[in-house]
Amino acid sequence: MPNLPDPIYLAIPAFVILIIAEMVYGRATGRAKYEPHDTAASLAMGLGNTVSGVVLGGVFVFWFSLIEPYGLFDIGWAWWAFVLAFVLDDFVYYWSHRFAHTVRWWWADHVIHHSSQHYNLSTALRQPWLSPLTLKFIFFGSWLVLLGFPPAMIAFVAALNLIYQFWIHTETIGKMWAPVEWVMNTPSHHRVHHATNPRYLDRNYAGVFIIWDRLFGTFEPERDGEPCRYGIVRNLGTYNPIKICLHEWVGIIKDVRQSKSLGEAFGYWLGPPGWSPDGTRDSSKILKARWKAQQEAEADPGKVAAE
Amino acid sequence: MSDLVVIVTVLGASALAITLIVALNAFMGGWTPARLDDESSIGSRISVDVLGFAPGAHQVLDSDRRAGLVFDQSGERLGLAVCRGDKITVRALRPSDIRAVSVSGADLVLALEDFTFPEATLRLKYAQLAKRWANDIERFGAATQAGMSHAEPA
Repeated sequence: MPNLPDPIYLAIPAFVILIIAEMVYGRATGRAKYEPHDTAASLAMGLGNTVSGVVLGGVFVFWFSLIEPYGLFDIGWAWWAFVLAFVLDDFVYYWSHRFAHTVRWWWADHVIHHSSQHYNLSTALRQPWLSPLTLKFIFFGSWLVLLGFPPAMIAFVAALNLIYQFWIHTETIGKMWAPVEWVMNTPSHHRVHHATNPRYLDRNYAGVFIIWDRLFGTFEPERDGEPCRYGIVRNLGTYNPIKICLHEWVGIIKDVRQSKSLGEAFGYWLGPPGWSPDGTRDSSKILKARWKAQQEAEADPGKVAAE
Repeated sequence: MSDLVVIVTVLGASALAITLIVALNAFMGGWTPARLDDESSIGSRISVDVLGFAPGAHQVLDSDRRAGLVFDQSGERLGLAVCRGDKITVRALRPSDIRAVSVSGADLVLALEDFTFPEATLRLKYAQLAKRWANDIERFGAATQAGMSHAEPA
């Protein structure tokens, strides 16, 4: 087994340099906005994520060591295995990410990354602290190990995947060369993913290759006439990292405690974000339907009045 | 170097880097503190974030244009817009979202059932206006809970 470095630790100096470069460039051109409280919150979340990775990382090691002997094949360390693992990991990332937006238990963890109303390179580092405790890695991280890829190889390519996603958190890069936009996840595609405009909600889940969204019907291009509004449907009123980290967990606990039945409790816990028994809250599905109805009403007021 | 030394070095350097980046951000500027233009912008700003929120005519902007309130046309929700940094955070409040409302001089203070947004203070033009709004908000809670609309407060 080769001694693989942790690419994220190696990339941290580059992250710092690129954030400063974007900040200076943004100041000079107005094409990137940084606000100190928001920047501090995002970077503090990034640091906390690193600490939690060290503290809670043992959970991953334990699980993957446990299932490694049950791998279907012994794939080994050939160069092509790295390439294949990278592509398959990105495929798994797509689904893991999609479920992170559609199951509140996992959204409670992932929402942290979406909780800034800014979109710049520091937003890329706004990451959750409690991910291992959601056990999402069991559902989505196990497949490649069970296929027979070495866990260290998967950890390595997953880190490369995350490093790739750093540079796409920027407004300084417009649309890129069409073939690149067609195949790869780009700043333009990922801006859509971070936007709360109803048209853009729950779209573009890709990590590295946008083809997964094209294949599975979740792709939405960025439109010139519809600038992205960043953040979450109910934006946070705090820069406090602890509150940012815990806010959706607190919401789940509060809702589950007030549930009138077991079904309601499960709905609040594992249903889509914004789910409520009577539909009075705003889930993405409800927002999109309301927005669509509004669009139709504006396009053809007579028809809607007649209906 | 042991793993522990590496970890402590990385974390220490990261904390220092964060401090320097934020200091640089504050030093360079480049953002404009958000402000609400006028009373009509309260409702229009909330409508952008809260799909279907139809602002009514009963609205108030605080004296430094950093926060505003507006009842929606149905009287079932109270829109709140508060400037934070260079962005505006909004809420479409229902009576159950408001824990308490109080007045201190010309300050109207809303305590909210909201983990990340527990309080909003609006400095209104004069104390009487703050009192009137506090009454309106209390009546909003009582009227809506009783199933009546609060479209236009007395």
